[in-house]
Amino acid sequence: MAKSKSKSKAKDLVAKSRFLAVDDEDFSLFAIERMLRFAGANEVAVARNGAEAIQIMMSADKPIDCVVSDLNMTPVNGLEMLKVIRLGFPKVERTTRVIMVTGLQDVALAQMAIELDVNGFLSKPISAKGLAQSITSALTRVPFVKPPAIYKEIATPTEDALAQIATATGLSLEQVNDQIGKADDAPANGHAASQGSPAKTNGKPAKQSPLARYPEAILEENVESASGDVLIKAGTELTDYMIERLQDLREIDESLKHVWIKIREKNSKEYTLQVRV
Amino acid sequence: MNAALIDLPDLSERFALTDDTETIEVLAVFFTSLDNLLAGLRAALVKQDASEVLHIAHSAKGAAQNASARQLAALFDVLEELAPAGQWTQIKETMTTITETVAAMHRLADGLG
Repeated sequence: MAKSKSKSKAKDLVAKSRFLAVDDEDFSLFAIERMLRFAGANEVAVARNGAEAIQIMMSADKPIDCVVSDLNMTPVNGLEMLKVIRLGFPKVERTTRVIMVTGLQDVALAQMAIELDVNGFLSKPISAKGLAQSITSALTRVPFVKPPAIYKEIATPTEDALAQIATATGLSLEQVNDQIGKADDAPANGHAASQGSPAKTNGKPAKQSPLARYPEAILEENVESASGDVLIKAGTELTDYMIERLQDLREIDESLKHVWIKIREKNSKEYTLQVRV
Repeated sequence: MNAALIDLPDLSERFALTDDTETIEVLAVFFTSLDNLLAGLRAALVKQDASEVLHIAHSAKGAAQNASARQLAALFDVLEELAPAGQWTQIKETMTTITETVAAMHRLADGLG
């Protein structure tokens, strides 16, 4: 009974939210849009790259609540789009939820997406069930963003991406540069935090992880992809947000099923443990 | 039914399809997009534009994965590996195999209608 109530509440939330599907390949874009509608979404806009997505977000009557985007696109990729959103742009909410669709080969880019506070990863090929879970999880959490200055340090977007955004939005490159990152640091909905603060949530993680049993845990070793790219650095605090991203990445890269964590106990004894995510 | 060409149970489950009509509708969108991708690949091949081949092959692989077309996705993966080194002879051979595979997929999809 309680489960069916929470399912219906989640469906209502999806029905009331506005979505933007972004992919530069027609069938993958169709798949995202169709699966969003299957999850109960009524309002779904589509864009064929990051620049078009920013233009649609700028011109929308009401703010877009959640973007589901491919990572690897031209001329403006998903990371560049995410950075523009997090820095702030006219009429674009910095706290907009962004879910990235990634394949194994894109995993190296995941670290940057995590630094930009991506709200979820979806592994290719996507499924209606996985997409529904991912958007519901993202929408039920209070979004969390850092001050724009912190995002500015992350080495994207490129000048070329900004030029493409200028073309798509009808602004000059100067205007884009001028507008970017000037957002008020008090989002209309959501939560702005200082660097390093743990993610604030108002719900439980969608999937219970063994890591959730260790509230005082930090990563003991770098989490690396199969190709050796460092995705999450050793010493990172395992907040709810980090645990969720680890779980997302596990779906994409099987080599990430286990992580070494350091447990800090109240009496300050520390020990290290390998945990299946 | 050749599951490597199009794994229909997997496609149905992932798209939450309820009948053959919906399956045909989804596959029609896939084949239309695939035609455009293949045209782009052939044009890039004529120009010997390795970065364009790489980009389109990556997109096409994602589309094939989403369409539960494992054999085709694997062939696009081969193209992705060959493109950076500009191995044009092998790229052309792979394109021929891709064309044959797509024709077999069309025959399979036609059997649904």
